[in-house]
Amino acid sequence: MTYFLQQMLNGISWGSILAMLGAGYTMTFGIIGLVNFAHGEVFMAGAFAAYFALYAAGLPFGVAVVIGILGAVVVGLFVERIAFKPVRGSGMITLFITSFAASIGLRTLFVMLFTDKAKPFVLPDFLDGAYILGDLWVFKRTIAIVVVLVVVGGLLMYLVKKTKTGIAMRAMSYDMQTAQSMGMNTEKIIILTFMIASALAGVAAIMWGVSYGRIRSSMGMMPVVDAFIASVIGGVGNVFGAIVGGLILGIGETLFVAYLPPELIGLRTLFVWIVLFIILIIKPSGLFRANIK
Amino acid sequence: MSAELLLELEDITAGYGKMMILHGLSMRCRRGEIVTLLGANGVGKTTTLRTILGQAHLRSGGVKFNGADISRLPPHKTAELGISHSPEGRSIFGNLTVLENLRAGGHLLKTRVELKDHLGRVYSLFPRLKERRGQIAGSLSGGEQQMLAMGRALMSNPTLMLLDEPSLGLAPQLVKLVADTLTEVNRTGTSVLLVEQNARLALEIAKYGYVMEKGTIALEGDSQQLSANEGIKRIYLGLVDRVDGKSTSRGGCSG
Amino acid sequence: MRLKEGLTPVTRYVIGIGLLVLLLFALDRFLPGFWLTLFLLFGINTILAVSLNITNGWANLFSIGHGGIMLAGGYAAALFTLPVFFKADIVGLHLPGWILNVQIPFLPALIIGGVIGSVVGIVLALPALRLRGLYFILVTLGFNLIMVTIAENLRNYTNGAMGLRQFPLYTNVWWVWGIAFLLIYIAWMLKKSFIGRAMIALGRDQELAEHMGINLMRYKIYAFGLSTFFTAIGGILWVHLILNLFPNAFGLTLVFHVVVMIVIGGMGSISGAVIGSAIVTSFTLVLAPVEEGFRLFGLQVPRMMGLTTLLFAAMLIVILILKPQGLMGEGEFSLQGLRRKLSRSKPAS
Repeated sequence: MTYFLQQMLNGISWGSILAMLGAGYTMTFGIIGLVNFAHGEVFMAGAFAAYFALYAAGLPFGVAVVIGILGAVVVGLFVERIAFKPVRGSGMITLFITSFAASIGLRTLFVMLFTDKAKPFVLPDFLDGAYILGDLWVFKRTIAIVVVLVVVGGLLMYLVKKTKTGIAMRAMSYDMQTAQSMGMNTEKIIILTFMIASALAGVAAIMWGVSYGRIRSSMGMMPVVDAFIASVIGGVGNVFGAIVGGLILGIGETLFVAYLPPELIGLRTLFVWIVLFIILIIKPSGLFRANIK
Repeated sequence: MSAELLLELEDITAGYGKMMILHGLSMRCRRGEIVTLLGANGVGKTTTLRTILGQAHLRSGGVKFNGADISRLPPHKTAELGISHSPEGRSIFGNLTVLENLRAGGHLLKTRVELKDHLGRVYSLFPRLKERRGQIAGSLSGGEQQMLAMGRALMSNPTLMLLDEPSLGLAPQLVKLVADTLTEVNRTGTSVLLVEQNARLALEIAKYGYVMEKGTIALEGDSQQLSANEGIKRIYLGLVDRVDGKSTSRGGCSG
Repeated sequence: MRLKEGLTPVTRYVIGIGLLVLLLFALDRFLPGFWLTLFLLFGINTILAVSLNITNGWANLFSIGHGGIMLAGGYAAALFTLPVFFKADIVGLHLPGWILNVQIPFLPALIIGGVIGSVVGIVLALPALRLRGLYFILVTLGFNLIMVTIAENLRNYTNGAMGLRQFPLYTNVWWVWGIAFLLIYIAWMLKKSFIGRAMIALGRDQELAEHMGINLMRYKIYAFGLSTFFTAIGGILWVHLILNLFPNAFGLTLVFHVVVMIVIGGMGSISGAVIGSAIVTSFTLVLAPVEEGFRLFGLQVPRMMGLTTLLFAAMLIVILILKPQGLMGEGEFSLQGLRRKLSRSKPAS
């Protein structure tokens, strides 16, 4: 039983990272139909920005977090301006190809500059340690991650559901042209969406660094796929759905690995694909209502 | 001289991409009036509205609103000037609730008071919308969606409302509701440009009308004049090439 | 050209194939090492590009799973072509006797590997074939990862992460370019045939094609099946050239490079795929020494591994912005088109 609970905690931790990544991913897909492969590199760039702030500049953790998020936003906007804006309206395939190019390009660049060796992301003191309940270790960092998920997730849901901007984002996801005729400044809102999505990736990057203690240039490659699958599970463009999807994937994958016999441990990466195939066969539109036509 | 000119389209050639749909189209709407744009399917009525809104490619000619040239304005700026739109086929946001759709329509409103105010007015015009305000718009019936589209277009308290075939697919009592609402809305100061296939309905509530054919205006006049005009019937049934007082009918139909 | 018009189609074919045979013979005999390698790579890349074009360019089924297909085909063929002493003794694979104790020649291995690669591809793609494009992209992305995982974990069949070696050097100019020309010929004929035009129609406008009576699933499967068959063969050719096979042999970077080939050349154009393949192959080989680092005017330029890929990424984005239809668009290279272009640029006589 303790083992199960312990793994649940790990799963919630991993699931929170995927939830943040998935939420951002689904936002940009919903609003301009962009399958954003480069989101993984935005995530990675945020981690690197925080890493440099911590180690090269020796800045305090709080500042490093802000710099990490800003780094992700800067890279995210950079990719948007260079690879997405010029081809907007050219169809989903073209947008995907440019995001693929941006992703491979950024990753290759980072590997060239910083190699693909792992870099340490040491835990700040206040996050170090755990509360021990019998046999169960509740790590402080896990609690922090969950708190961040709830707070950020809550703010995000409020933005998307209750504010004028959120309604505009969802309206634009459904029918961009009609939304424009209501006076919505679509260009501004698209940029804002990218900033928020990238900031969420930055938050996910910090969570990752805190959870695993190391970052590397190729760290975005697999999580972006999980984020993609989480958006599909949740219903395209649906932020709440992506958060739930991310948690399902994170908890599911962790439990899957935890209960897998040791010889089959290499099959861990298949979990998310099994879930994807199940969803595609049973309910491809996702668990929740999609925000596109 | 009657009411001032609100909207002027001068010699418009416009379309989408490389394909031009409108050729040398000119028309005028006066403030406080209901003007209707009639014509068979595919002549370019929707394209005319889209050109006004800045959603089509304007190759030559100009659009003026309140005397100012708005030809090159992006769509959201046109909305800021007070032009609202109830698109063809309703085009409500199916993923949002009724209330959220209305709030989207009121996107440009600055204060919460204004929003509440305008919402109240729309609810009084369409009590059904108030009943269903929490319902997902995609699940509404055709008639309810049309009410929503109109209500949404009214949220900004527009100076000029553009409607694209609001009566399409509606039961007769709903068609009457649409007509009554437009008349009421017009009475309180909103000018209306109504694109319609249902010429009889449109000419009943409009003051002035334009009839389009092949991308340009073939006929115009006071609604009473147009109602009596034989030429309209022929244009709709496609039996003539042009109408300029003379008719050259083809085919076997008599008079 | 008057000469061509005077000959019967059969004679034309015979002359064409004869010239081809002569060309390949000359290349095989006389090309020095580096150029031979370049030419072989160019050929394999051409096979990959032309086959990818069938799904991504014509049928609008944007696949990025070719890495996984190549892996599936490569391993399938490898199990048959590896020498017995390696399979049974050195590595001790737990294969059934009829596979373990034989070593078959190239042609049957290519066909087996091609078919297996194709079948695996179709089976995995089935759930996504009737859904929107974005799901298809996701599923094909999965191929790569799923295949790698299978290769790493079915150690009794694949030797896992340790990989396979001791391959017979089967690949040569004849095989590579023979198959490449065969594929180009098939694709060319296909493009003009009903099946090909049905694929292109469903690629352009799926609903319209359906209304015209085209059975979408059937033609999608044809397109995907044909494409993956040759992609798998491309993988097998590669493996029997570099003589080793590891689970991560055909990673995302390679997948990306093939996409670059068809986009630069023009998605939908066979000639475009060939041109794109030529461009990517030559850049790769020319820049390889640059990536290692070199001395320029006394300064040591450091190693920049991945420079080629970075360059391709930039080129791809630029092409999609400036000329999204690629160099050839959807059309093909034709002698008439060339003649027309030349006569247009000549001053009026």
